[in-house]
Amino acid sequence: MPRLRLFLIAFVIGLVGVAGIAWISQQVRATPLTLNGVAVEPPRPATDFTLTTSAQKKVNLSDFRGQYVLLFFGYRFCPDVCPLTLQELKKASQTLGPQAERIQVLMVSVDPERDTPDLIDAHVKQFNPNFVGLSGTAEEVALAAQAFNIYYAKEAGSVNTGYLVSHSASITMLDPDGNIVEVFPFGLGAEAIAADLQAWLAR
Amino acid sequence: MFTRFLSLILTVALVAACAPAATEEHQDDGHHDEAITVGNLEITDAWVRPATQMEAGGGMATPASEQTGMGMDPNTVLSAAYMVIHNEGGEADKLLSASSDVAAAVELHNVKMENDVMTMFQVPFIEVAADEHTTLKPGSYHVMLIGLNRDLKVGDHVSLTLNFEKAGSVTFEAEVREEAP
Repeated sequence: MPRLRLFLIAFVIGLVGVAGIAWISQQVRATPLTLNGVAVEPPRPATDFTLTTSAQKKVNLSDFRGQYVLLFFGYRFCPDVCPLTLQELKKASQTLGPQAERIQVLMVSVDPERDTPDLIDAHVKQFNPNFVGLSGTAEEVALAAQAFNIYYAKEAGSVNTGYLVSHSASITMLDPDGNIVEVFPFGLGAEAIAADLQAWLAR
Repeated sequence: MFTRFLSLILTVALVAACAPAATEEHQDDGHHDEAITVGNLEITDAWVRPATQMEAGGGMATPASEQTGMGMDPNTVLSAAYMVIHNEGGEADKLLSASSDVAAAVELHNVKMENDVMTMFQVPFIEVAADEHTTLKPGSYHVMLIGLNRDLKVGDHVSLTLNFEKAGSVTFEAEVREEAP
């Protein structure tokens, strides 16, 4: 009799254990990704924009559907913050190896007066030939910035630097369906960005 | 007799303990061949960002003047130099200016981040507090090199001269790197 009871108790415990494990694993699958950056919940569709890259080629943001897009705004006469962002993105891309072709880095100039499409595209391609630099008329750039809540403004500089441009320094990420899903604050670091990218790519 | 013997042992032990420490002080971490010092200050981990003349509409920058305003010439190329300044003396100093044979003009800048908006601005000096180290790094204080007269490729060296209020001037070579050492 006692043995049977023992067996029944063990059996019930076993059942509960299995059920528990099943429930926990289902919960884990359902939870959102743990990200280093800031998740955008719920994801919101990005407004499309049209800008120009080198050789006067017109580019729409929606041209990059099917890839995860990493979009940020900056300018060439910014020798400090913007190169850091480009360097972080370059290293993050390298970490992804062959998966990097599922990512597209775009840089939009907030200084269309000095950053022609040719110049900004050549600038980003120094970091990675797959990066795309975009510029356009002042109005076109303004529309793109507005769509992503990017602030930018001219500030006085010196005769050496000309004017400087204050600007939002974060990176916005879109999923392959064109939804904004995450924002990376400035200076997060290549490892943190790569880790988040890998989490998204693994989905 | 025993006391003397004990003293001798202790002395030998002390000397033995000190010897390796003395050797360690002279050992380098390999970052630089010789220390860069001026007055009470030491400069370490200096590096400069790579920069290339654009192929599209390339051409070297012209020296600055009120009329040409190098800053408005899209062909002007910029870079930045970073380093750690150690102030081992008891009094504060200031980095007042800098120069380099690779740039037509050199300015000191700082970056302010507020709600993820970054603003860069020129500063008249960079404070080097006493008994502390001051770090120039991306997103913060840096030496801006404006109007480069040659490409800076990873591995190159750039001559930099720093002018401090109290310590005086020092010239040294900084390595061109993609990121801090």
